[in-house]
Amino acid sequence: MKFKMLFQTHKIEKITTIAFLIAIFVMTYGLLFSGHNITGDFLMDYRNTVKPGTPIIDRVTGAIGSLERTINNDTYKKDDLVELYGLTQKTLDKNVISDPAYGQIYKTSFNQITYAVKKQDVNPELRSMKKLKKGLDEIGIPLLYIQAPFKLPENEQQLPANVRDYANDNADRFLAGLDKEGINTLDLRKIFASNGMTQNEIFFNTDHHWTIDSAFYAMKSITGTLNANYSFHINEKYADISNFNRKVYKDYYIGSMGRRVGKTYGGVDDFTLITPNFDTDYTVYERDYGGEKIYEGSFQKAVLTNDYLKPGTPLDTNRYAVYHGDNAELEFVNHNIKGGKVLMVKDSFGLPIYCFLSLGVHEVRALDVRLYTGSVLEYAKANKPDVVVILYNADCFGGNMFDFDEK
Amino acid sequence: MLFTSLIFIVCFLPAVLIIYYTVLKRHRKAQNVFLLLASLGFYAWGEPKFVFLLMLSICMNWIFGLAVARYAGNKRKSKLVIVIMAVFNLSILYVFKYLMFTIHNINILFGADLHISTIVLPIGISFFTFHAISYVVDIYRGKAKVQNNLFHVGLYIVFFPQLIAGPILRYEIIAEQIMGRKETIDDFSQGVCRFLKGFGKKILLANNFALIADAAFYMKNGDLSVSFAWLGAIAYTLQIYFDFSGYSDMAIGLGRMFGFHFPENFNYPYISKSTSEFWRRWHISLGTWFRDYVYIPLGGSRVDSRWRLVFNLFVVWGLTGFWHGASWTFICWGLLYFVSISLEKVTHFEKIGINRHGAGIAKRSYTMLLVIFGWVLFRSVSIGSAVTYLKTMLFLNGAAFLDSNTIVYLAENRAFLFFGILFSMPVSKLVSKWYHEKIHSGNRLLEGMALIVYPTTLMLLFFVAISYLVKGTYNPFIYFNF
Repeated sequence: MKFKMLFQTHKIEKITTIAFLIAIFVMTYGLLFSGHNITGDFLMDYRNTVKPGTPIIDRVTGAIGSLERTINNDTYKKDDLVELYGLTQKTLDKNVISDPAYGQIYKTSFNQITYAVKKQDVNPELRSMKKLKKGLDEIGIPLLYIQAPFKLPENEQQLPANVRDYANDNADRFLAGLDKEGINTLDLRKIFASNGMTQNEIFFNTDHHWTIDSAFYAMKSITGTLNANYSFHINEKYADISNFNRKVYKDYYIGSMGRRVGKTYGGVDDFTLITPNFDTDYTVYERDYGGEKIYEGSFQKAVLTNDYLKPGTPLDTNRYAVYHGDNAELEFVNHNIKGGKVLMVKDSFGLPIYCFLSLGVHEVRALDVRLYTGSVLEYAKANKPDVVVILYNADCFGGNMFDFDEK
Repeated sequence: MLFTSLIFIVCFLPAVLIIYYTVLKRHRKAQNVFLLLASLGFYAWGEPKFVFLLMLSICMNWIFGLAVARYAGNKRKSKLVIVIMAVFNLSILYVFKYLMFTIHNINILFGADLHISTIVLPIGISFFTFHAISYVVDIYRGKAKVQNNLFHVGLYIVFFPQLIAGPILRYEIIAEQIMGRKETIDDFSQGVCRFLKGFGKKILLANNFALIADAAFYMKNGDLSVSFAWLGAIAYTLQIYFDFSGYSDMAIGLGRMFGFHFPENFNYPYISKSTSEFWRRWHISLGTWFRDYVYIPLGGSRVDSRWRLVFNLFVVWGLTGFWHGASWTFICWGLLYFVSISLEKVTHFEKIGINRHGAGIAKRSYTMLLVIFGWVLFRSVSIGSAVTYLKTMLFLNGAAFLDSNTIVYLAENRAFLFFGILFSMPVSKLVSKWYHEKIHSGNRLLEGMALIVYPTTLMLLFFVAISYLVKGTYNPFIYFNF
């Protein structure tokens, strides 16, 4: 009776209130008891953002910021809420999505998710390249810059009409500058302009990276250039897909861009794994923060990081990193090949490239200067590669990608 | 702390509600002390160091209140206390908000080279200072009894729902509620719904309009087309309304959850037929504050000469503009309303064509245009950039009429613009009225449908808004700086 009386007035507001209270208390309970280590996450964030010796008031402000970030990151059912966000954008037919990291991300005319690159002054990068070239010339090691493509091609407006992407413009000016300095270049963007692959085949829809098929295709140009201009003798079979197994994992990958909008909006990509169908024998050294890990065995065992493809792992697992990535220094030693040593300074576009390239040469070393703190020139002096290759995608200017000096 | 933050929704609000309604239930004084402490914590979350300034303000105004009450029979002494109180409060406001502006202008005017390091503006300083002044003045005027309890004065000044951005409460309205309020389930549930509406208005509408407005106002002069300038100005007009009225809805809703009844702050200002009416519908609590504590003490409109009336209006609107910020753009924005309202009063504008439909449309158009131009002034970083922007809007600087920005932003935000324009008019009020009439006439089907549709819609909007927060989308708040 009392319960009935309670609902005699403002029924709809009361029902809403019950739903609201349940929602916020479930969110609170979920935040505290759904398995997130809030204290640990908070302390880690605090230690990363507040340096020792910071004045007390700034420490308090820092702790508040850390706690807010922790709660935002550990929100209960965060993935579902991101999906709801994506569903909202889809329902509203939005092609421009507000994003805290990129400002805006876009759905292109090919239904791919990407961001646009701003115009950059490439002169600092040119100066770094010139300095490195000079140092390498003194020790007789040639330098090759390979320009990997950015997700948006040069002569096609895939973004909304009011948005301009400058990745290719930046890369064009950079390559012209390298040409002026007499530094050899290989522009992979050109091979994709005419090879018949569609935009959706060249790049993942949900990731900013090229697909494994694209990377494999690019390999042919790279090995051809190394053979023609740098005295390498890489057997053509290592760039021939008929010598490889190609396994397609259907609807198996949500990349870095897709993670920002959810699968409802961005969709799910297939992931293709390309592995050699011939015998291989490797030792791979992985060096980070002064430590070293060693992997021995075949390409599949030593070169690939198979955990990223394990069945049951979330779709937004970084499948692309199955081609051994995110390390400061990697060394691939192919025991089945006698000659050829490559030092590759690379961004993430280089992951499948150095793995495939290692099949045709004895040694590939890969450095990521965002993580590697030593000097690239000193590294080259110590290891004497036959060529130093720098492979970056066209969104590499304006940051620290060309900081080749010791940090 | 922001209402539109996950920490508020997931931690602060549930914790405060639980403690208030369980541990402290039926202990009014303890509830008040708890709300005061929670409010100080709420403020400290965003401004740890300025919480001491806030506490100083509470203590001093509590003392001023006691002094005014003590000298109630002695006009001279109580007036002296009022003067000291005004000097104290306005000095704090002046130092933090206007000192840099003053020195900057002295340097320009006299070619001086006075230097002052940057002074950070404490959040909500204009709001809590006005609350404090209202407290002492209302005691002085005998409109409210003195509050002997320091915590209760503190609660009035800093109660977290209205601390950061109002509504600006006059003490006479809230005095009885501090001890005598009664929390009811009806009030609580209406408060929740009001909060949810404000939450949605702020996150889903205002924040999206902010993206359009920012794009237009940050655009280089030569790149801005006429159409995009208009779209940006309209977007800002909608942004500031949904931003501020959304925050006011949340504040009023939260107040009701704890049994407080705050005055309304907005009443569909964009349907006004004059700028005078606009200000009776826009930021009502600020207009009322200036009316009660500045305009009427100056004589209001009951003065002998027309010039005196104009002077009174000049003071009020100059101060209204200046209250919003230490910048010539705000002063000029205030003075724009001084000119328009003065002209309207002198010409009896509001009485013209009362029963003529065409006149109503023309008056609404005039008001809206003036309001939009005013917002351009308000939003611009300087008078110069405002003039340039207005010239673009009015085809006066050779800008192209249409560009891709207009097309893309219109296409991308058509739903937000549609609902923004719709909800800036009293549509929901009309629907609500219609619904209640039907219910009273016994329409059970409609009632049953509403039981499902209303909560589902509000909760869906709530979760969508939460998803925007989780994504960390653009979440500015205009009135934070005032």
